[in-house]
Amino acid sequence: MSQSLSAVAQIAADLFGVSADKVTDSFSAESTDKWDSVAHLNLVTAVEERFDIMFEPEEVDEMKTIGAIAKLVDEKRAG
Amino acid sequence: MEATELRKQVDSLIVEKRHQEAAATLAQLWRVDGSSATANFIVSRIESLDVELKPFKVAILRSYTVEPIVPLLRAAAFSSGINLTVELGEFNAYMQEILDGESSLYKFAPDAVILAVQSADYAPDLWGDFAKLDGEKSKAAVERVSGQLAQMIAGLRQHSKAHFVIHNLETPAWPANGLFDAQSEGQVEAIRAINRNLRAAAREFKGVYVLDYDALVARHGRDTWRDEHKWLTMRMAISSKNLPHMAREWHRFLHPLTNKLCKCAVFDLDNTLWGGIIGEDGMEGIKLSAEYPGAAHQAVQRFALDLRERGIVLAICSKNNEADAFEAIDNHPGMILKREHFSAHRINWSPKSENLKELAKELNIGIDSLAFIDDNPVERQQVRSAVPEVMVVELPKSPMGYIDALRAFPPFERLALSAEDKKRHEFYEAAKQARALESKVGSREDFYRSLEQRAIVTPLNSMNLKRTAQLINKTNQFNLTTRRHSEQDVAEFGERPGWYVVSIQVVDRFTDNGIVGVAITHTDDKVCEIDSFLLSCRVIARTVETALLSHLVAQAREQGAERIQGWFLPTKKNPPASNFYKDHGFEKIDEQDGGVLWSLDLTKNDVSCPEWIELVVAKG
Repeated sequence: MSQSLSAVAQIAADLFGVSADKVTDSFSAESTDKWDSVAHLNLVTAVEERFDIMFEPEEVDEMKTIGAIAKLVDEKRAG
Repeated sequence: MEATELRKQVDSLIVEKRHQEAAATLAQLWRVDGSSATANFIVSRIESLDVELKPFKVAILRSYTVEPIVPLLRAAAFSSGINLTVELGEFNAYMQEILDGESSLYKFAPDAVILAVQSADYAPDLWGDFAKLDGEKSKAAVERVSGQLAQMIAGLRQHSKAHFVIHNLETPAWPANGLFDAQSEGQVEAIRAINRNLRAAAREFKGVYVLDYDALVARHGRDTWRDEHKWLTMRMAISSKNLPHMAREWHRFLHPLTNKLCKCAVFDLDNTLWGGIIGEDGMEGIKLSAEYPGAAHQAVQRFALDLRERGIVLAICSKNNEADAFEAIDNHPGMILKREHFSAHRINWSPKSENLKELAKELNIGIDSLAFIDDNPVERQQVRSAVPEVMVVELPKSPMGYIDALRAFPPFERLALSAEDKKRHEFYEAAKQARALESKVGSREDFYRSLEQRAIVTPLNSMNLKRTAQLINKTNQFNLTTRRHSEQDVAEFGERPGWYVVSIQVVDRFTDNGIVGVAITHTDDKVCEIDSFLLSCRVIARTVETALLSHLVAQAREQGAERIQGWFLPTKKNPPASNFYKDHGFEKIDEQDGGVLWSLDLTKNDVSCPEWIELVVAKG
């Protein structure tokens, strides 16, 4: 597991109140009831703050699974 | 310990039902990592904790997305012992919500209301089209927005007694007319004019406060405060990395609003008030001057003097030889604080927790109103675990960062300052002298006589309202019912028929102690009931309470009462007042949930003022 994947998984675990080892890269908005629009906003801002990055609106729309978010974080950080 | 470890520890403590330890560990986690991620974790665990927290309800009315700030605010409040319930208003519905007395805002019955609206939403013309406005139109816009703000303040007060915290308007990072803006009555000036009007409007009402949003934005950088993408797509006016700053600013208000305040700041000496260790480095070796690195410690000393002006007294708690310490305090040229600025000290080798307990006792204040400032994390931990009630300031590693940590510590905040606050340190000094006198004079009565006390009782008026409400809300020890009433409530009691709100001021041979006690009574059908009766710890054990009670009895007779009665409602802190009614000849007539109702038959009994106190009744 990449470092950003485990950090993103931890953020999602805290937010959705599940244990971090339950949050795999396929953990998604579709499969999680609590992942509504407010939770999505909380997730986006917490990830941005954690990694000191800013997502573009198009990127925010792509952030449907934990794996996708971690991939975006890696791309952002690679510049 | 690392954040991940602390999370695991919290969860296993919860499973083992060790709730207090779990709460302390959550607070530690919040200190280590105050991020949004941690806030979400803390919020998700609050419900499963069985610990005593003060409930407080906040409604946030807004023109933008604040949802991700709510967990940050709730986590910060939790670390202060507050269980915060937050309700958010609809986007841009703030005006209707305030003006409609039937709105969901008032159904929620908040303790405090925050109004978070940005300049662009109050004044789209001033914000977006300023360059096109002529002077008249700009002036009209200023008046329109100022009027709207005043109308909301009055509207909220009409329907609610909640505290009201209003964000002022931020000025633009890039004014519409560029450099010319500063050469003219420009855009920035127009927004500042609105802010001046807002401050004036707020001051006309009790419990209405301005949050300086413009200064907050400036402090963290106007250019990067916003994230325009998020604004356009999600109505988020604040970028992710600044959300914790917004939460912290709201949190600063929570302490004065819930009376979780520091009354005494207790400072360590070595590496805190000066750099280095006096016992080892000596007078020449310690760092304390206007230059680096001594300047960091001088900044701390200056801040301590500022605290004193806010009514927070200073004390020392240091592991040192007392003679070495005072040698530096009295004679080091870099010292800004002087010996007389400290109301008490413990300079010895005992555990700091023990010394803090003694300091609280000596100053006659609750241990939970002490703040402890020490550079040494081991000492901070010792205090946190041995006396968890003490508020501990978390200091960064570098002394250059101490001053910011102190400035940002919410229990130091005050939203109103009374004349008494500014003089408080004098009272403690006088109390010290009075104690010295007590040990010299013989009998108790000789001591009372030697104090030459004059007690002035004054019915509620606009001059003493603020101090009256302040005492009602913060007096813990000599307080018979510990009923808290807001300033707005107290003002209203003063006008109710049959009700009587009175304060007592005590002048003795050492000092004018100011207003030190309050009583509230209401008389109907020949029975006078004492709703509240309280005295500041400053004048306990000097028979001032008898003087005040004698006045209430006389006043009750005037109202035609034949009986005076009052509840004693026990709390953790008010045992000093438990025998008050009994000692004055009252009889127990009822008992409920631990409280006792005491009564005195005025047709047969009386309470007179002690002969050594001169009682003066002033007009309201």
